[in-house]
Amino acid sequence: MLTNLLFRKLSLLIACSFFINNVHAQTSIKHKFKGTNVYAGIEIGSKGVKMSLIEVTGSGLKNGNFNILKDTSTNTDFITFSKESFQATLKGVTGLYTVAKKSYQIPSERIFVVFSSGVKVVSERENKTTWLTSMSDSFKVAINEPERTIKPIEVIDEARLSHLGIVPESKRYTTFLIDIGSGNTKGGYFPSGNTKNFSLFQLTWGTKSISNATDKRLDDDRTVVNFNKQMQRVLAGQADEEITYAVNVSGAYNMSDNIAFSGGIAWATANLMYPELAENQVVPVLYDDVVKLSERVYKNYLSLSDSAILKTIQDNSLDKKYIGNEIRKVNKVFDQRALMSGIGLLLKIMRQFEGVYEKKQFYFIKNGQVGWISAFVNQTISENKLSQ
Amino acid sequence: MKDYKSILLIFVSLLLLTVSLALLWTWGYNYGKKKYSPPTSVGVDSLGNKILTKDSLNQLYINALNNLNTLDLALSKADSLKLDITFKLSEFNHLRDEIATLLSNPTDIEGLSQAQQKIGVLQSKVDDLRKQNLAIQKENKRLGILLDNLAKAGDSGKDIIADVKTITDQKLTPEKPNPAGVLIISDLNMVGLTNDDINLTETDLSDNLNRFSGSFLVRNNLSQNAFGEVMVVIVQPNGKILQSSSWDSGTFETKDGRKIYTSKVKFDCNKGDLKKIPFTVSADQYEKGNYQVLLYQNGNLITKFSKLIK
Repeated sequence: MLTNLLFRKLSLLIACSFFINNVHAQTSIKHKFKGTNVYAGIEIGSKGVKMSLIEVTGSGLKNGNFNILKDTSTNTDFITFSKESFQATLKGVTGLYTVAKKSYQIPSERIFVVFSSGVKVVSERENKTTWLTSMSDSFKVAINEPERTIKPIEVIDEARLSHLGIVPESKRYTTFLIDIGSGNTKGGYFPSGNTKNFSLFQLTWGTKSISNATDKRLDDDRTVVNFNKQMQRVLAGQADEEITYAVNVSGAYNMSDNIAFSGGIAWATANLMYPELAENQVVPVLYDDVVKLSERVYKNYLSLSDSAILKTIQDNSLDKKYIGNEIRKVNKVFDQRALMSGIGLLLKIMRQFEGVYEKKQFYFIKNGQVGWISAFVNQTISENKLSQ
Repeated sequence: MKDYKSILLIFVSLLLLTVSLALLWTWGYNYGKKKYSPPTSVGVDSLGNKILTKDSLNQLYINALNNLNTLDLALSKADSLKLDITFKLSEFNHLRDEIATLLSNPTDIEGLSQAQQKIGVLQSKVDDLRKQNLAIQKENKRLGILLDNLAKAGDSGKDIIADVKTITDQKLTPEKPNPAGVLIISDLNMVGLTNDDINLTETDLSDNLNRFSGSFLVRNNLSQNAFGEVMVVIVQPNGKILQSSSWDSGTFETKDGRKIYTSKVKFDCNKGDLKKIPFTVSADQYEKGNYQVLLYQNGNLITKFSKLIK
C-alpha cells in the first residue's frame, strides 16, 4: 500500500517536472505594462486543461482592461471519466499550477482553478459529479493546499465572462459572441448596454456532434462524397430547425452589428482563409470567403496543405515560417471531414445573420478559450478588492 | 229679261275677283312672313348646328385628356422631378374640371366659346409636358444604365459606391475612363500626434508619438447621397503593415493579390458636398523612418502619402 502510494507520488512528481520543463521552454513573459500584477487562471475543460497568464493594472481593474501574457493547454479528455483521463487531468492541472507558482512566481492567491461549464453539464448528465469532487480533493492533496477547492462554472457565467474577456469595450454592446465547441455551441450578448444583463444563446450542436450525426448516416459508403451529402442532410434537418429558432429567439440580429465566432473551428478557418493574418488573434471575415473555403475543403483539400498555402503568399514581409507552423497545427487538429462538419455548422449559423439588406460584420476569434478565464480572474480580483 | 242675265254675270265676276284677291293676299302674307322672319328666333336647324359644335369640343377635350394620361410613366419613374410634374398635373386637372363644367351646359354659347379656348391651352400644355416626359424617360434610361454599371463594379448592387477619380499631385496609376466621375477622393494627409495629458499636439518624433491622425477629402457630384468605404494601408519603415488592433485590420483583394489593411474607413457624403473624412491609427510603438499611407477603393490604389518619423 505504502509502496503503491510512494510510486504514485513519484510518478506524479516526474510528470510534473517534465511538464514544467516542457511549458517553461515556451514561456518568457514580457510585460506589456510596467508595475502590473500577473495572475493565472487554470480551467479543467472537456478536452483538456488550459492556463492563461494575465497582467492587470490598477486602471485595468476599474476599466476591465487586461493583457494576456501567455496561454497554454494540454489534452487530457477528462469527460471520458476513465482512470487514465483522471490521472492525466490531475497531472495537467497540478503541472500548470506548479509552473505558475514556481516558474512565474505567482502567489497561490492569484492562481484560480475551475471546472468549465461543459465538464459540469456532462458530469451531471452522466451522474459523474463525484469525479469532480475527487479531482478537487486530489488536487488539494497534490499541491498541499487543504483550503483550496475547484468549483465548476455555470454556462451563462462562462459565456458572459468570455464576452467580457474577448470583445473590446468599444464593441461590447454591439457584438454577438458565439463559441462553437465540439459538443455544443454557446454565446450571447449584452442587450441593455450594461454587463449585468446577458442574453444567453445555446445550441446542442457542435463540430463533433455534426460529424458524429453524419457518420451515423454513412452506412457502407464512407466516401467523402457521401459524407458531404449526408452532412448537408444533417445540417438541413434537425440542426437547421434548432439554429433558426435559437437565433430568432435570441433577438441578436436586430441588436448586433458584429457577429464574432470563437472555438477551434473559428481558429482553423481563420488560419486557412487568411494565412497572412496568422499572427492576429482576431480576423474580420466575409461570408462568401467561408463559402469558398467550404468548397475548397470538399473539392480541393490538398490546396490547404502548409506548402500549398505558403506558395500563394506573395508578401515577403510576412513570417512564412510562423504561418507554415500554424497551418500544420490546423491540419493536425482538423482532418478533411472535421473541417467540413465545422465549416458546415459555421455557415449554417452565419447564414442567419447574412441579411440581404443589412450586412453584419463577422469576426473569427483565435484565442477564445482564454477569454473567459481572463475575465474570471479579473472579476474575482475586482470582487476581492471591493470586499476589502 | 236681258238685263237680269247681265247683272248676274257681273255679280259672279266680282265674287271671283274677290276670292282671287283674298287668295293672293293670303299667299303674299305667308311669303312675306317666311322671308322677313326675325334672325333671333330659334329653329330646329339652328339647334342642330349647336349640338354638332359641342361634340367637336368634346372630341378635342377627350384627345387632350388621353395625351395627359401618357404622362403617368414619367411621373412614376421620376424621382427628383416628381414634385414639379405633380404640380403641373394638378394644374391640368384644374383646367380639365373647368372645361368639363363649361361643356355640361349645352345652351351656354359664351361658355362653349371659353371651353374651346381652354381646350386649346390644355392641348398646348399637354404637348409641352409630353416633350418633357420624353426627356425624363431618356434621362431615366441613362441613369439606369449608370446604376447597373456601378452595381457591377461595386461589392454589391445596393450600395452606390462611385468609381473614384483622384486629384493628387502624384499620379500613381494611369487614369482610366471614369464612368461615374461623381465621387472624388483627394488631399490625403497624415500627421503624428502626442498627448501631453491635456492636449494633442503634432509631432514627428517616434518617442513622443501616441497615434497617427489622417484625413482625406470626398466630393460627391452624384445626383443623390452616397456612401462608400476605403482601405487605409500604412506601411511601416520595416515594410510591415501597421496594425493597431486585430479587430480593425483585415485583408482585401487587389489586382496584385490579397493585401492587409490597417483600417477600413466608411463614410457617407451628401449630394454636392465636400467632406473631410478623418481616421486614426495607433500602435504600441513606432519605428523611425518613412511611413507610406496608401488609400484603396474597390481594390484599386487611389492615392498615397508619406510621413517621416524621426
